[in-house]
Formats: sequence, C-alpha cells, structure tokens
Amino acid sequence: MSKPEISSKILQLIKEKQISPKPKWFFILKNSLIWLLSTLSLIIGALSFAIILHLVINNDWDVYKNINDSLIGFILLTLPYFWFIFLIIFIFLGYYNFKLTQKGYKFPFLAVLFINILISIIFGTFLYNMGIGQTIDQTLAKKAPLYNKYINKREHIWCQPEQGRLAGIIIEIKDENIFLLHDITKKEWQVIYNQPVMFQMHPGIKIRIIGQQVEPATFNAMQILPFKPAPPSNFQELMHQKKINYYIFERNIF
Amino acid sequence: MAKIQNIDTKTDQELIKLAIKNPDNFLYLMKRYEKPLLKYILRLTNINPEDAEDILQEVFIKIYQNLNDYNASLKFSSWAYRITHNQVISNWRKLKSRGQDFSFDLDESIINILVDEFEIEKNLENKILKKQIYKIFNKMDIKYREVLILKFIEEKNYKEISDIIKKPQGTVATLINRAKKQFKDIAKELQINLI
Repeated sequence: MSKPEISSKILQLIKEKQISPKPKWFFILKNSLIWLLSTLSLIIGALSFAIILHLVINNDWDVYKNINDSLIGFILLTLPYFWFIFLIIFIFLGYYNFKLTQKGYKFPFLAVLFINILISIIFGTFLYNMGIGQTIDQTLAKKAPLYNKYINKREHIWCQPEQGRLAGIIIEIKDENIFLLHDITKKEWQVIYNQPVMFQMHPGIKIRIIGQQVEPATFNAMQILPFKPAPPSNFQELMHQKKINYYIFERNIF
Repeated sequence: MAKIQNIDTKTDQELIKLAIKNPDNFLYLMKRYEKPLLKYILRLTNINPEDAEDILQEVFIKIYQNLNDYNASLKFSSWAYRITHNQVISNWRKLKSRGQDFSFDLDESIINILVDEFEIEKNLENKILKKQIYKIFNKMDIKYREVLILKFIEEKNYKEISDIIKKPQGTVATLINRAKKQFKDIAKELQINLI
C-alpha cells in the first residue's frame, strides 16, 4: 500500500522548501486573541442586555393606553429590537469564538449557549444597576444623530402633538398655568395646564405631556409626567445659549 | 543525520521535542504514523493510493508546521487524525470526484465486529460480506461513514473520536447512532440481508 520512501520524500520536501514549525508565540497569540474576542463578545452582549433592561424598565408603561390601544401593540411598538438583535448576534459570536478555543469543542452547543445567555443576563443586570445601560443609551442619543430616529424611537413617540403627545425640556415657567417648553426638535411650545402636577416643575426638567394641540405652537396639557429616566444635564448649556431667565416655580399640590 | 538510540521506546511527546529541534527527527514520527494515517485516508475517501499519499504529504507538512501547537493533554494520534480529518474534509469536493468503489482492507476481526454490530447475516462468505459492506459505505454520507470507520475499524473510543472530529462526546454518540441507522437503511435499500 504505502511506498517505503514516502516519509523520506516528505522530509526532503520539508528541507527543500525550508518549511519550519511555526513559533510557539504565534499559537499563544492566536489562542489569546480567540479568548479576547470571546470575552469581548460576552461583554458587548452584557452591555446590550443592560441597555434593553434600561429601555424596558423606563418604558411608558404608566400611559401605554395613550400610545397604543392594546398592551401587546404597545410592547410590539416599543420593544428595543435593535438591542435584542445586537444581543443575539454577540451571544452567538461569543459561542462561536468559545468553540474555537482549544477545548471549546468538548462542550455541547446548548450548554455553551445557555451559559453565554446566563452570563449576559447576570453581568448585564449588574451593568444596568451601575447605570451603564442608561449612560450608553443617552450618549448614543446625544452623539449618534440617527439613534433616536431609528433605534430608540421613544422620543419620536413623544413628539407627536397631533396625536396628543408632547415631550421636551421646560425652559421657562410663565405663571401658574403656562410654561414654555422645547420639544426634541428644539421647537418652542407654550403649554397651558390646569390639572394638578404630581412633582416639582422647574426649568431644566424633561417632561412628557398628554393633551391636545390647540394652535401651531400651543399645547393644552391634560396630564404632565416626568420623563423617565432623568435627562443628561446639558440644560445649562441650552439655558446659556438662549439667555433664558431662571424662574424657579414650584407648585405644591399637597 | 545522527541516529537516535532506542527510537521505539521514545514517546510521541519526546519525538515531537526532537523534531522541533531538528527536522531530521520528524522522520521517526512520520514513520510511526505513516501507515495508520494512510489507511485512514483511504478508508475515508476511497481515492487511489497515489492521491492518498498526496493528502498524507499535506497532512505531515501541516503536522510539522504546527508542532508547537500540540497540546500534551491530547493523544498525539488523536491530534494527527484530527489534522488528517480536516485535510480530507477541506478537500472533500475534489476527492469525491476522484473516488472509486470502496476496496479498503477489512480483516476478519473487523468483519466480525461489523457483522455483530449491524446484524448482517453471518452465513455469507467473507468475500461477499466485504463486498456488501463496501457497497453500503460507498453510499453513506462522509460524516456518518467517518464515525463508523473511527469506531469500528480504527477502534477509537468516544473521547478519541470527540478529539478527532472536534465534537462533544454526546454528539459523537448521536452521530454513531444515526450512522448505524443509515447503514441499516442503505442495506435494506440495496436488499442486503440483515438478520
């Protein structure tokens, strides 16, 4: 079957072509890179989970009926699809990279996947509690122009005055029933309200309003709610630019 | 080339260390695995011996280039079979077109194992039995054929098969069960008598 000289022929070829064993550091580097990619995928998956948790917890559950007729419709409308897809991609990338490690093949697919998901959930919950989910969401909202338009559509949902929803930052309290507000497009609105408000209102806070548009820049508020979670504190800058006078108004209903 | 004393008593790990120091010493390792790996390639692919030797050459060059990646927690034979498996799989399309009918050697002990395992009628002559087994192997998927060859012909255990094909041991067990089923289904299809 085998010619006796085949090994000798291969050895000769190795010498002729000056083939040599790849150095040990090459394999150490390769294996370290695989572990690094696997760990990075896991961290990014956990970050995605922290953002999902932040977006789900801070969703408008309290007024979902004003956004969609049914709870299921509201969930489908506001689910953070992008981050779910991101999470799934990185869970699978973590799985794929782990399988490429030297002993990764020994573990069954479902066990690796389950552990990956579990780590993403536990570590992601920890990151959410540290406020990382909120920080990333708000940083992206501030720095990535398309983020609010395509990924986190919550602000857009609250910028539909014709549908009875308006959100923005209070820039001035005129009197007990009127204040001025900048919506997310920086349009200035005069808001009229007669209903009691369950929190302290003052310039700089971000709010959600349910009501009715009565004129192109006038909105009649029926319900005023804080915008969960607290906005990034860039209002000082805005106030400075607009040279708005601070007029702190506190309305205590109790 | 300075001859190394008591080469047969040296372990694979010792030969690897020697081969890293001096390529001439790689010859001892090749000689040790030349026959089993060539047989394995032929059993797996049903190509002619010359083509199988070309594959073996590529396998040994890969083994030599990756000697520093060998992890002693694994049997060297499993690692060498794994590289052979990878080489065959990556060249499978090309090899398939060059394939001929199976005719690898099956000695009596292997035939007896297969006869017992697959409940093939025992009254047939070995020559006829062999022909029937080749026919069935010829029609099997490579992934199933491979696990049957590793388990019943190469006589590897589950851990070794797992290390060779880089799949968990549970998956190996499933593959073997499915392979057995496919073997029996093809036997039925070809009207080969099973008990």
